[in-house]
Amino acid sequence: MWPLALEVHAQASASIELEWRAPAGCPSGADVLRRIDALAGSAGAVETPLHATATIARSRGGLLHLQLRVRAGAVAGERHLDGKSCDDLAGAAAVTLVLLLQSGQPLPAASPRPAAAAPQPTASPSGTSRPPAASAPQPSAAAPQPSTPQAGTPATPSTARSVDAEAQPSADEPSSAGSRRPFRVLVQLPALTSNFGLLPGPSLGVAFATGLEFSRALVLAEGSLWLPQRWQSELRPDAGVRVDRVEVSLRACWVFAYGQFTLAPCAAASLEHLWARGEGRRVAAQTAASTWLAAGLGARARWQLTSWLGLVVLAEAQVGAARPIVYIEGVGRLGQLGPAAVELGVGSEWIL
Amino acid sequence: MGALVAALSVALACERELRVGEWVCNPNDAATPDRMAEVAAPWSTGFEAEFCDYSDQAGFCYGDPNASYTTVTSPVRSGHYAAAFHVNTDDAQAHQTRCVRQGVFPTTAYYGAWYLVPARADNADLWNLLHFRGGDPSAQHGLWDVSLINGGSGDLELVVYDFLNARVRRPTSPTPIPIGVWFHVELYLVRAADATGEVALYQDGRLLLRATNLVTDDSSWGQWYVGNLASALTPAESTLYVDDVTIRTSR
Repeated sequence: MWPLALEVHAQASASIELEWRAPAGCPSGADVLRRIDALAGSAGAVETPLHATATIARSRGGLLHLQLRVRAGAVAGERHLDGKSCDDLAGAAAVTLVLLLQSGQPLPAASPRPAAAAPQPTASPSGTSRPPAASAPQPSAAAPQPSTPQAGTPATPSTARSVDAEAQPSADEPSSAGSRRPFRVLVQLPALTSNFGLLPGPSLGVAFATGLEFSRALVLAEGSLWLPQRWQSELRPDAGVRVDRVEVSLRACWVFAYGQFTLAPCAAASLEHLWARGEGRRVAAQTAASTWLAAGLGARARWQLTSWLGLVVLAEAQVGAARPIVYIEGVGRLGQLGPAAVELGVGSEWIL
Repeated sequence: MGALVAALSVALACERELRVGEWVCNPNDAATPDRMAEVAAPWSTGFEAEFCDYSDQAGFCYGDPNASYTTVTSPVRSGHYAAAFHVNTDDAQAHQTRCVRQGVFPTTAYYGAWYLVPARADNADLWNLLHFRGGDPSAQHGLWDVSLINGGSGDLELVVYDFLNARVRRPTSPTPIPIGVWFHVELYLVRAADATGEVALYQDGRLLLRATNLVTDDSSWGQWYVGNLASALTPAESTLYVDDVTIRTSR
């Protein structure tokens, strides 16, 4: 096994950044960039810089294998070439990059082609400075490889195994399409939420949430403000209480994507805070408050309307660690919080 | 660390009670009603607001130190509450507990209350249900009583005592009160300082006795007591339940 050498070269020309990994004894990244410069001359400038990662490794059959990954802005592609020598593959990489530089695109989309018996490049890279002819074949969907290398240029293995793929999110990988960040910022606003079972009557509220989505993992911090409720004494209808409640939650989800839809089972921990004040003509009112923890399990679904906006629906079952009792002295108990509740929510989610 | 433990213990406490107020008759310290004012009729209380319907109208409830009065949710005749007046005739500090309306009463009115006597008792002296007094706030004297006595068979019966004429007025046809069942006691009183007054006693709407052309009230200001006053009962402890007390000008 050859020791790998890692070199990073920025701007051999103004439009390309090459990360070159190759065993010892292979041409260096600087060599490849010099070949690119020689091949491309001044005609290779593109608006969006190319970032290329080339890795040469020895395969099981003894051949050398080049993996070339190219990214231009939000679009990326990948190509594989087999060859007998490092020089051949370095030359092929240089030619490929020059062609891409001239086309202004990274690797075009193409159907994966099964690997044939990998023929060898027909010519060794010469390293001459003559640029490819204007009629040099461009990469296309049907023919991703330059099939007719020009004289004086390194021959590209025309039958080399080639697998081109656009970097689109797959069905089960909802991670950031078109984003270089490993995460996306999510903001839920506005969101409406409802709770059944915690208070004697259904609760309605508004919620705000923000969080991060890392590939399949999703973490959200959420705050909910519930509309006040009023409970009356059954025995003394002119005595009652107003109950206000706020909730802060931390929710962790695991995301499964199905096209524009994602479904995510979630676990949540919440801090509930309730305060209540007596009401009534004959009530000397005072305010009392309570804070307790709650835990929940549920699911979250998102329909992604655009790349930056989704519609979110949440259903969750919650269990609280406390069941406060609210009472008025001389009247008795007005109500007690339930042991468990179901929370339903809907809202828009901004994907940043 | 200590603060964290304290916060967790608070958050995880399973059950806690939140006291959000206290029932009081006059939470806003409204002006005290005038006890010299006329008593408006009709008026009623079912004790749904505890005893506030008395204090709202310049009335009051009281008891001997060892007697007690409270509201109960059972038995009740209507609504959610009734009043319970408890005395113990073996205890000189527990002979009476009652609620009082006071002021200038209507010239003509029916004064009624629903009573429940849970058990029969032997009364060797006085067992009063309704009591009327006249005079002024500093000094009063008795006018009328509606009380219980044991009849010939031992059953409890209603009688009227006329303070101004110092005589007991008994129904011509004795009618025992029911035990353990709500029954209505009502006294019709035409107040008069001369011999134009009238008094009539009704039990469950049935006229038991009626007297006319007599002095019924020699004062303009008075008090009306409803509750339990006893001095010699066997057994000594007695709880009377009262609900739906009314003053009305017609039946």
